[in-house]
Amino acid sequence: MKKDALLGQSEMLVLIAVLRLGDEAYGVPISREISKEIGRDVAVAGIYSTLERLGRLHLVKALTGEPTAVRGGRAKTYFSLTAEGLRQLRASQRILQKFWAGLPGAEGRPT
Amino acid sequence: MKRYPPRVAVWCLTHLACGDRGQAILGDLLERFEEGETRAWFWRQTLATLAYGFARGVRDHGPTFAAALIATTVLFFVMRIVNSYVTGKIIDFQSHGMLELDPQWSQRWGWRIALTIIGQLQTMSWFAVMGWLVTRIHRAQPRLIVVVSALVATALHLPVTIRLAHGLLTHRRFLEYFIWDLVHLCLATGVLVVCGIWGSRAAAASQRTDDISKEKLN
Repeated sequence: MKKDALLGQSEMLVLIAVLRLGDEAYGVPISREISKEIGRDVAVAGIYSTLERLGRLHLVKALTGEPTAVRGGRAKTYFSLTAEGLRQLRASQRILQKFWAGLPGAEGRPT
Repeated sequence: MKRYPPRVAVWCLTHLACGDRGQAILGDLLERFEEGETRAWFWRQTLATLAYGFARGVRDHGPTFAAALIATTVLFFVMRIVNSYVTGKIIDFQSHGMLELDPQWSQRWGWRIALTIIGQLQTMSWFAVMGWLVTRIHRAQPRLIVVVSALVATALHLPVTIRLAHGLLTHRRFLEYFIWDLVHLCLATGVLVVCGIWGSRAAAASQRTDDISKEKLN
């Protein structure tokens, strides 16, 4: 990825959710966190697709946990941001804030 | 009372969603279902997962995916040409040779069943080859390509079924042909899926044996 390129909407949402959840960032809480923020249900497969893309760009790393009975014996996959992921997220935030700044009536704050 | 997720949806995800990611998604869906999500939600997520898997297959392995679908289409039309030639020969045999052997043959169930079985076996053999071939071409997602190939073959056959259904509206005698066509199609696509899955397992087993042999050599 080009240095300091603006991340896509779904990439930013997933990265922020992973950052918020910390050590508990796996599919279920990530999808719930995003659904809560955007106000509608999201496809779990879509989140994994984004995470896979971010993984290929070395912005997140995955770690397989222990299998649990409630998941039919399937293991959780935990995700965390890499240093590069955090840097890219902050860079995108700065780009957006700069773009919003000084806009008459908006002032970079949502109404 | 314990709630159970839709079995068909779980089967689809277990067998059609590929790799570790598919299993992680299934685990997440089961966990959320356990926490109170509805069966409709589970189905929506299942369809979305399969759609994402399909898109991923096309994106990551486009050439082999396209080649498998082209092979299905080509084999389907070759089957039609060969079958119509063979059927023509059988009709000739029925109307000339059979009458010499047995003038009352058309009234005997044994002959009719035998000829029906020959026709069915003819189509099923083609569909079996189709199933085996597509999993050899598109090895990345063998089960998904088998299902897609079965859907393509069904879609290609659909004009015949629609013609028979249309005929059924005007003549009741088409009912027998219509039902037989549906049975014929179900059996043939069933054979395609079974042979495809069997072919993919055999390929995976031989791949494992090769890997073990290489490890031993190293």
